Amino acid sequence: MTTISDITGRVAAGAITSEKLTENCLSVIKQLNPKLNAFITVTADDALRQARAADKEIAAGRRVGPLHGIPISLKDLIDQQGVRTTAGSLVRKDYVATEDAVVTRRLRESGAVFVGKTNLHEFAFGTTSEDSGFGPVLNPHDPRRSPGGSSGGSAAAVATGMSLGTVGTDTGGSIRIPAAACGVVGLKPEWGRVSASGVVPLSRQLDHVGPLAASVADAWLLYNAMLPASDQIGDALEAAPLEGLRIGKLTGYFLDRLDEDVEAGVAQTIERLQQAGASVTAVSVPHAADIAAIYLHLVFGDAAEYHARTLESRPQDYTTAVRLRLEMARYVLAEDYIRAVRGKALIAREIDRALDGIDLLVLPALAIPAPPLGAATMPVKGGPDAVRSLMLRCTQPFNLSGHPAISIPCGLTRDRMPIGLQLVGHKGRTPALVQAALAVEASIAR
Amino acid sequence: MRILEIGTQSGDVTVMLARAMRGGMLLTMEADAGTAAAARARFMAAGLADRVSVIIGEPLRFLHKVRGPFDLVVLHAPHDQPAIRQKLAGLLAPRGLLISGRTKYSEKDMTITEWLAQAKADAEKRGLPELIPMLDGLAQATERLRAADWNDNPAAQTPFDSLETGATDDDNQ
Repeated sequence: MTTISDITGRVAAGAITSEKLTENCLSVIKQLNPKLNAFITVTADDALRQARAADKEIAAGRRVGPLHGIPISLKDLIDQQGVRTTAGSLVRKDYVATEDAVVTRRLRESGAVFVGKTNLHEFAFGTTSEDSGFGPVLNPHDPRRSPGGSSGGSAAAVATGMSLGTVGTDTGGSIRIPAAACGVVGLKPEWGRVSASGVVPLSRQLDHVGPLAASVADAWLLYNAMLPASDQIGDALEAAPLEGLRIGKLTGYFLDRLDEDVEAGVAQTIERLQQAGASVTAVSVPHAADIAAIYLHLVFGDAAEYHARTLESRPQDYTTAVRLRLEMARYVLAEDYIRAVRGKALIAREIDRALDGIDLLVLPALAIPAPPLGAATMPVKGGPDAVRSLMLRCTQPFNLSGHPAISIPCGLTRDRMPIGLQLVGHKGRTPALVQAALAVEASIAR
Repeated sequence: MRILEIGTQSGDVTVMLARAMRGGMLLTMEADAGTAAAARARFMAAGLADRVSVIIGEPLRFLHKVRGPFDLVVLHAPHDQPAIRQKLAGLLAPRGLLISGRTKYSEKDMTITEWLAQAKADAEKRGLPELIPMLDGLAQATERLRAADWNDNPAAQTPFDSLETGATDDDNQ
C-alpha cells in the first residue's frame, strides 16, 4: 500500500503531481469498484479539478501541509458540500449536502482531494456492510467475504489504493472492525475530540469520527488534520520506545470467544512486544459481561428516536434487515434505557481503573477473521456464536467508555485473512497511544 | 435536574425516575383525570409528593403552557406523535435527552415476560411478525441489564446525577 507519509515529500518536491496521484486512484476505482462496490459516489471530475488546483498552489510555493493534493475518500455518512450523503440507504438517495461537515471542511482546508463517498452498512447500523441500499461491499482479500463494517467501503478503498486515506465513523467498532477485516489501520479517537457535526447519527453518545489509513503515521496525519486548529499537535510523531512500555493484557470476556488463528496471532504479537522490553500484566473489567446489553439498549433507544419518522413514512426504502432491527429497537423501554445509561458510566470507570498504572491495553480488534457473506454464525472457542455479537465484542467497550483505540494489522490467518490488534489508551493522551502504536507497528513489520 | 414525563398512566415509571433523582423536580402529564388522581395518591403514599407534580392535560393542548428547559423528557406511547415531539424539542435543555417507548405500561410493575408478550402482540398487530423471534433476543439482553448487580451502585451514574451533585467528569473518574 502506498502511504501518504511516503509520498507527500515527492508531491512537495514536484516529483509527482496531485493530478497523477488522483488519476491513479480513479483508475483503481474504475478497475475494482465494479467488483468490490466500495464507492456509492465517485466525484472524478471534481477530484481532478481539486488536484490541478492543488498542483498550482504547491508549484507556487503555497503548500499548506502534508495532506495537500492527497486523494482521500469519505464514508457516505459524512456531508460534503454539493454531493449526496446517502448513509447507504435509499431513504436518503436524493439528499444533497448544502455544506461540508466540520471534519470535511478541516480536511479540505488541509488541502486533501476528495475522490468520492464510500459504501457502508445502511445508516451504519451493522458490522458487515452487506445490508446497503446500494448493494454489499466485498472484501478485497477475498470477495466471498465481508469487509467488516459499517465503514466497509472505506476500509476496502484504503486496502486497494482507491484512495490513500479515508474518514470513517465508529459507534460500536465501525472503524476498527473493517480496518481489522481488510488489513489497514483504523483510529477511533477519544469521544468528542473530532466533531460529528454534519455526520448522520446512529447514536450521538457513542458515535466517533476518525481515520482509516495504510499506516499508523498516516492515521495520525489525518486525525491531526481533523482536529480544531487549537488542538492540532503536529503532522508526525516519533515512535515510543517499547522498552519499559507498560501493557495491560485484557483477559476473561475479551479472550473467551476468539477464533483460533486470531488468538494465536495476537498472542504472538504480545510475546514479541515483551521480548522487546515491554512489561505485560493481565487486567480485567469486572462487568465486561454486561457490556453488550448496555450497548444494545443505548444504540437502540437513540437509533429508534432518529428513525421513527422515516420508519413510518418510507419503510420500503430501508433494507429489510436494517428496517427490522430499527423496528425492534422501538420496543426498548425508557426505564431500561436509563439502566443502560448508568451501566455506561460504570464501564467507563472500570476501564479507567484497568488503565491505572499502565500505558495501554491490548486485545484483538476483531474476534474473528472477516466472515463469509451471509454467515449468521462463526466458529470460535467454545462453539459457534452470532456474527454480529462476535464482531462487536472487542470494540464496543470503548465506545461506551469513550477511550481512544486503534486497530493495526498483525499478521494473517491460515486462510490468509488479516488479523487486527487493538491498542487502547488513556483519555486525553491520544498522542501517547499513537506513539506506542507506531512502535508496535514497526515491531510487527520486523 | 428537571424531568418531564408525558403520559403518567400507572405511575410505575414516574416512581422509578423520582426515586433515582437526587433533588430537582419531575413534572408528569396525564390526560385522564381519574388516572391522574390515582397516580397522585400513589406518589403521596410513596413519599414522593415533594418532587413529583401531576398535571391533568392533553399534551398537544397543554404543552405550550409548560415552562422548560428539562434535562430529561420521557415520552410514552400513545403520545409519541410528530407534533408532540416537535413541541418537546423546544422544552429540552441544550444537553437534554428525550426518550420514548412504544409499549404501554401495565397497572403493576411490568415484568420482562409481560413486556415481551405485549411487544410481540404489538408487532403482530402492526404486520411485523418477523420481529417476534428477534424480540426474544432483545428480551434476553434486557433481562441481563435488569439483573446486573450495579443497578444500585453509586459509581453507575447518569449524566443528570452529576448535575445534582455538582460533580465534574474528573470527580467521577
